Amino acid sequence: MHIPDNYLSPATCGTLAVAMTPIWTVAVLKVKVQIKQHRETLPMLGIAASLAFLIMMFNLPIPGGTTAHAVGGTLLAVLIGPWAACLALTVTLVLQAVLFGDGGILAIGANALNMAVIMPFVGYACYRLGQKWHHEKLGLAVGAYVGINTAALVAGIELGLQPLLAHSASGAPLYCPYGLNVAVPAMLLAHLLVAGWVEVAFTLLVFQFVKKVAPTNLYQTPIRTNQRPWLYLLGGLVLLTPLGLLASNTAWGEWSTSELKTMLTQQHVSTQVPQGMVSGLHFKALFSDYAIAGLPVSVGYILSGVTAILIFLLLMRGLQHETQPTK
Amino acid sequence: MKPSQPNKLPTWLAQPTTPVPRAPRHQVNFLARNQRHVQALLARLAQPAPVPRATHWQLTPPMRLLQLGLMLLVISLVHSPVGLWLLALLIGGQLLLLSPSQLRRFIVSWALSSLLALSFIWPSYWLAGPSTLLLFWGKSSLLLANAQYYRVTTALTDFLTALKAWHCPDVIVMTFAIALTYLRMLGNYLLQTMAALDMRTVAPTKHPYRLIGSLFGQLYLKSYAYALELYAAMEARGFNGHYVTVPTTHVRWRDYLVVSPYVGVLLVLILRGV
Repeated sequence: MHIPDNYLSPATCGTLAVAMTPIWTVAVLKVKVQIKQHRETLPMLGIAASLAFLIMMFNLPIPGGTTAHAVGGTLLAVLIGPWAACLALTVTLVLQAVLFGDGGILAIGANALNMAVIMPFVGYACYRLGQKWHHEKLGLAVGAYVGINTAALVAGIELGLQPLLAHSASGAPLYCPYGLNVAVPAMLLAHLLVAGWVEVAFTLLVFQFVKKVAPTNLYQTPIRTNQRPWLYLLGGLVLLTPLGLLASNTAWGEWSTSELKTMLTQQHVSTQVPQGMVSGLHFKALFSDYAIAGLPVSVGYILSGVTAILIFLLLMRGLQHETQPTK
Repeated sequence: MKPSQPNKLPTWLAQPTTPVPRAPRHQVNFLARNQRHVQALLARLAQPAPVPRATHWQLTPPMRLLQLGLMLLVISLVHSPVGLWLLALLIGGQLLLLSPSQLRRFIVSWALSSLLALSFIWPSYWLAGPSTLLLFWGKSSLLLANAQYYRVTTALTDFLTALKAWHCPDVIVMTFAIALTYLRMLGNYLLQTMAALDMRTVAPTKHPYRLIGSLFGQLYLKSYAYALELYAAMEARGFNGHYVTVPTTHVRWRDYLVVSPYVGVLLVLILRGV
């Protein structure tokens, strides 16, 4: 899953590296808090990075005589916590790229997004769900499988988008020459059929061993009591919602068929809209483009936003457990 | 005195034994192959090849890292064969400074990684034609050559110095330093455990995956114990949360001089809208 250099355009690499910067910053801040509570986390980060390196180097036999290796993203998230796993895996990926030639140096952002963010966080979320529903091992197995496959899917999309994003005037791809129709199935098939199961087996076996021998060494999720930061974040986003009214053009990828046809013609890609889009499903929403009949667009936009937030708050309230008042 | 009756052998010795079935080939190879991988890694970490030091124009570590990044960016942005040829000549000229043994090591490693890159890209011949294939492979090989040259000519401590100089957070620099140090230690422990398993396994295991749990579970627990001891040692030595073991380096005017052509080419490429 390590994307080498030259498969992604520098613009894609730069965008993904910039997108990763806030994640790395939050990870460093979170880990600093974790270090204050458990001092050993600091050296554990480095040791976990070398452990991840060894896990990725260790080949396991699979049916058919060939071998595959696990990544250990979900396992590390469960053992040392998802934020610490994010940092440890990033360090491993940088070491592999710069010192051992595995994966691209310019593609560090993309590889870190796939393997140090998506995989541990998706895996950990599934594990926590399983823990909540008293099926810890099932949650972990599902997490390991879904985590690696989600990461592979994203890697496939990143690679498959390149012929669309970077091509010469004649249409020849400048970077990864495989389109979405090749890259996504190629990445997913290998992971759905082989690598995913190897990851599940590896994660479960090591987790079972650690849980049996030293259950206290597993990462304990801190009990969250203060919901205030999340409320501030939600409030801030609500206040920022009207910014959408300033945008005049259509968002990337949300074009209508006529807009798409104009763009394809302008960029000498095609003069026809893909057949699947013309004859596909055309859903007529109740408030299409957030517009409410008889009201100005801005009022309709804000009303739609407030309604959506209210619906989600009601849903969250309905799903919450009843708290018994203490006598 | 003659024994009245011959000594009877124990039943387990008297009965013919059926030979223990040999483990299938892939199961035998599984541990051996991984042992070879770990041994190769340990050899690489234990005896790093001496890094050739240029007597003149020796760049500081942060500038070397910047130079690598800029060079990779320039190669990625150049799409003309002539431009790539010129860049290939540049890296070829740099290679002349390597010692013969290092040059051989460089060539073997670079050739292998280039062939691997070719194997991935080969099917695109039928999708996009030979010109795309050749351009892509040429660029990939050039990128790999530059990265390999950096690896051959840079010590691990220089890499850490560069990270520190580029204001990488202390937590990250320390994580790199600990990871590099403990990679060798954990690798050694893994190798010893595999060797012990190999010697103790007299009969084939039901499934090779059965070993994985204990192998890596023990490795994790060992790591945890190391972490506790390491932190105690760090505290005993007055650790205050800052990473100061890396020497600080000052960038000199000639560093800027070496890097400026790359910046210039990059700016031209960006302004031309490549």
